[in-house]
Amino acid sequence: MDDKRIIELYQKRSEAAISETANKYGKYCYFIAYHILYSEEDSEECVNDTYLRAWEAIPPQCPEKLSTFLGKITRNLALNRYKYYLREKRGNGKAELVIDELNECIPASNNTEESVDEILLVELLNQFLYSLPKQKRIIFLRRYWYMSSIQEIAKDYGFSESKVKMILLRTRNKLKQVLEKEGIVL
Amino acid sequence: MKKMRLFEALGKVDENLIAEASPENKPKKNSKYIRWAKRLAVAACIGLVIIGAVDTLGRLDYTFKASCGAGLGTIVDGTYYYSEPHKGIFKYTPEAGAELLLHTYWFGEDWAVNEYGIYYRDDMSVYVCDHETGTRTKLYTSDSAENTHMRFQLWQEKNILVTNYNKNTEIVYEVLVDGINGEVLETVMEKTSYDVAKYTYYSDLHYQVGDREITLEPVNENRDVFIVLENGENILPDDFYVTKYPDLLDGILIFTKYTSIDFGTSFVAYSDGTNQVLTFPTNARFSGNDKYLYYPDVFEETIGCVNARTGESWYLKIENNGKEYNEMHNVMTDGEYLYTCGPAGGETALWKLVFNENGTPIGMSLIDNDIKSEK
Repeated sequence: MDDKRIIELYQKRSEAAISETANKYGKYCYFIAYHILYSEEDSEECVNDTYLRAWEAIPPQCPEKLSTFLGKITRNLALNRYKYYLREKRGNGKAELVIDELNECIPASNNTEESVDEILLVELLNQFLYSLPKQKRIIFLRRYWYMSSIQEIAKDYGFSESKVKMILLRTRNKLKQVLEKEGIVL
Repeated sequence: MKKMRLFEALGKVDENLIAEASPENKPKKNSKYIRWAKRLAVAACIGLVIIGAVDTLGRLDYTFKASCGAGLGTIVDGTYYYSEPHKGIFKYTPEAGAELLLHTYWFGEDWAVNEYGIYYRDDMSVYVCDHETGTRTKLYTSDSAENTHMRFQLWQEKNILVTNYNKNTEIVYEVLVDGINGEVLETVMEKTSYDVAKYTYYSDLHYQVGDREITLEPVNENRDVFIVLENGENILPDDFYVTKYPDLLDGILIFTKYTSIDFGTSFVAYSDGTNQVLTFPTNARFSGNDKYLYYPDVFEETIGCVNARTGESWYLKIENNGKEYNEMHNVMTDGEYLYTCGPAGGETALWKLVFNENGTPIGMSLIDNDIKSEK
């Protein structure tokens, strides 16, 4: 079923909207949750929560891209759960490894500087990502949006793992340069 | 936390970008070359690293037995790199031929290539020439007041391992250096006498395959028989011991069993976390990856191929169309092409691998019997 029809079902408050969403985007949402939480049970709960949130959000919202709308919800839910586990000192640390890599993008700053507004930061990230060659952009987002492992990315794109790591390293360095150039403080 | 702020901001980037990168939009693989050639780059690189790290402390034997063989270069990202004494470092692709990248006047074997750039030593310094920008950066200079000579090798993706020697005091130490910005990361072997160092070289005892970190621990007085440790646990079967200097290829690490009876028996660790014992038809060094391994069979005058998961082996059928070619004592492959050369180097021949309908390599077809000759 195409996205328009699924959104119509949400708007009509038809429960079939949930089953159609699960059919079409269940695996996609599970992928996102699992790569943050690395737990089948937690990931399934996150995906179910995603359907609930979508049900609550549509209407009034009418997403242009249902996939990324759901993906963002799943990512946020999984991330919240991940942060909770981090505080509780649970979890397996895999997501932490990915997030730690982003440390390399952060420009040095002193504590007195005011941190950048998130809207500006997102805008800058959009500009930065659009300025990258398509393949590098996709690999960067596969790692830091979808939290895919290096092995998965290498397999999907037919690269060696070291090539993927090198692309990510170069892209992180470029992002750091851009943030520094723009005087961004995080 | 700043990194979390950045991570969360990344979560809100344009939806078109997110959709574009969706795991459901995997690219179509246009040929087996992509899966093979690119993944094998690492294996090839490692072969060169070993060659590039010839040192003067009795490790010459090992380096010349390294996986890519004495006279061959290395393959990174489908490009073959080789050096010619007093000329420089060249890159070669079957499509574009050879191109001189760096003029070199030093001992021509102290260089290495990875995904980032070409690394080379000039006297007491190591430099890198960035593939992307061509920029040359001095990464490390050995203290000439303290050391008489030095060597380097690439180490785990993006670092270099530098070995500093003082031949007068016979003291050696090793440092790990960031292969991009030259920052000294760690002293991995403190100052040690030559006599002791031959047992403790960091690079001899530490390996990484995928994300797995594997170390060797000697179990006998001569320190030439080892167990294999991962997370502090011996991962070998009972009563199984190995020798030093495994084949480290893309996604696979092969330790030869310490024995005089079980010819070819090896302990194999894969990057996917699995291990197994396999018996190979040779003790020669392999080129290849965690799917297929290739080795020169001098007596059969061909290249042998081994299924890296089952140990099943066969010879590749040679198609040379009447053209002559040099003996094949060394082999290097990127999974689409094979480079071979004789016992002392000499002409490097280029072959194209021939696959059957299942993607299994079954033959090799001669493209050029001497890629270095002027055409």
